[in-house]
Amino acid sequence: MTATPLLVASGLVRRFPGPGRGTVAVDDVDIAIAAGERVGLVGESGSGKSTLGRLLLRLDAADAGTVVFDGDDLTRKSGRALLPFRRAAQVVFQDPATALNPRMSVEELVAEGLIIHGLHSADRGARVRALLGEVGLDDSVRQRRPHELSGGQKQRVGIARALAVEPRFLLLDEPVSALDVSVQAQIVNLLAELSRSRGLTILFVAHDLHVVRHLCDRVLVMYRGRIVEEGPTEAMFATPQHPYTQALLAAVPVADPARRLLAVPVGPGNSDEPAVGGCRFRHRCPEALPACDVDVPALVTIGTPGRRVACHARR
Amino acid sequence: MTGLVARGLTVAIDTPTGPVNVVDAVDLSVAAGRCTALVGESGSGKTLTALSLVRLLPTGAHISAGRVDLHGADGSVVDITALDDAGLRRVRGRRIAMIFQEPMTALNPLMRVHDQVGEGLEIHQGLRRRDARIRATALLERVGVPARRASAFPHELSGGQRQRVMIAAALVSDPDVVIADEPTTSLDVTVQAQVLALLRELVAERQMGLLLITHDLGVVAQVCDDVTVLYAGRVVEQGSAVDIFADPRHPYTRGLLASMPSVAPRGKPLPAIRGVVPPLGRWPSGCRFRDRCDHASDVCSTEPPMVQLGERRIRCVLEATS
Repeated sequence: MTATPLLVASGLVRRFPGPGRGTVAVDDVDIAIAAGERVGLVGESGSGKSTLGRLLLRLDAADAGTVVFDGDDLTRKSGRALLPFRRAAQVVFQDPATALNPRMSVEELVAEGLIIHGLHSADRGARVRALLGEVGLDDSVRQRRPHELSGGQKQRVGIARALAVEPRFLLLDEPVSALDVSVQAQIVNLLAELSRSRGLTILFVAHDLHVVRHLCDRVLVMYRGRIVEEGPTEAMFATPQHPYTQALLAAVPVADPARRLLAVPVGPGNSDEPAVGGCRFRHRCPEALPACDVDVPALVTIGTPGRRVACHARR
Repeated sequence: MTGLVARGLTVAIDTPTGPVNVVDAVDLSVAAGRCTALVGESGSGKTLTALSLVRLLPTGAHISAGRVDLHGADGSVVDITALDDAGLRRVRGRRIAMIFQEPMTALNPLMRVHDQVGEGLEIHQGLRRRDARIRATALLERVGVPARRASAFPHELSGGQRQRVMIAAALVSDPDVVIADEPTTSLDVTVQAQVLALLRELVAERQMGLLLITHDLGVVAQVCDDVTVLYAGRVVEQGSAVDIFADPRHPYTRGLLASMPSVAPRGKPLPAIRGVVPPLGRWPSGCRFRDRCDHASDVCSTEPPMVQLGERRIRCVLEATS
């Protein structure tokens, strides 16, 4: 990576208590995101992708590891000391219906961040109107409450809210998963447009690989708490390396009855399997080697710079 | 034909301003050994259509017109809209079974899965608990739940396994028709692919008719033989999957297909359909899609004709004039 990273996390670990030794939701993850970069983070449910997003935004505290934003180590900071970071890094959640306070009007929702950060006290109304225009909402929605809006409109309010404080970094946690297909495309286009016009750095968390393909420069693939592959979007889609990435891409249903998936390339996921020791994907992997039972594969560069994969079978 | 045939099926919801037809004169066939897709976005009426086929509509909604004929392999025909409660009990779960979207809420959390699957056998076939369990376990194994998991509670299973349990429960009485409402929507893509492959196998193996309700055209292409596209409670396009994916005719079907991120080229804006699905009953007059349609003209304010082109049906004035 040539540009200075805006966000760098090293050795992030997050454990949740549970039966036995509990669950390691995020297991020793390193991540660096350059200013202006649009990064996709994909994985299935339970892969830890949302937890990793929350750790990066300090919405949750890591059990180990550091998060550095723009040269500022946030690891030991809390409360008011995080306020400048809270302005610089914003989030848009998956389900706008639960992310928006049902008793607040659209105007109040969008202005909330401005009030907290003491911004635009003189021309707040005009600022809110400009933001609504920027996300494609008509001025007439200002006095409405979330229940009076469609799913797409709610998500636009969520985006306007995040943009109000002029963040540099935006975490998008499955922002289009809850939307209708015809509306999903509108929001993906809006996000692409905004990231360009505002020069935003974006981490896009999603399970839909094709949405990520449209929006992101680089993709990280997560499986059971670890990054198993990363690389530039085009290369990753053209030649996925990790057997899990290959399975993910192959399993996305293609809208063509002539190209039906005859066999699924991986075994079924099974919650019985122990998560410790060796490669976590080995029970489902068609290429598992003896080494996979013993050693956790490290994320190593293969081929071109920026292309990394954690797989014994790819050495 | 064996299977389910709905003609002019209309479901009305009572509102303060009078009844609204949320499902409006829908024609639909689910033939044995075939998979029919019912495609639509939220608010299209696809779930209400499915529920009306087995008369499970929520309070306030009722079938106001049309009929639903269940054709048996023996040549018998039953109109489900005319059945009394006893008649419905002989059909529901026995000849027509349902698979719901969210297995965690559809399954009883306090019952072991072999008993939930076996319950259908006890009720419909009068088996004793012990024998029902044995048959249930065999069915569970057929759908890919290992026998050692048969005595598990739903929370001990993964999302994919829970959905397999739902499928096994639907199969207990060897139904003529299975209605699956978004059966893979909450599943991960690799698991979704496995469940879809299983459904396809079961349709072929048991010669049952499958009505698959979904908003995902990718899923439709992977599994279904026939497709019905609903918009605002009306059928806008109907035909074979091969034909519709090769040559979508209705502007809404075209828009839906084009806006799929897997279909559209990278680096360009996705071709989105403008506007939003209108709320129930707040549809424009004439063609209900015309507010969002790039081809709309004045003529679209009158009722669009249903145009028949061979096997294909399209509700659009463009097809009538071309």
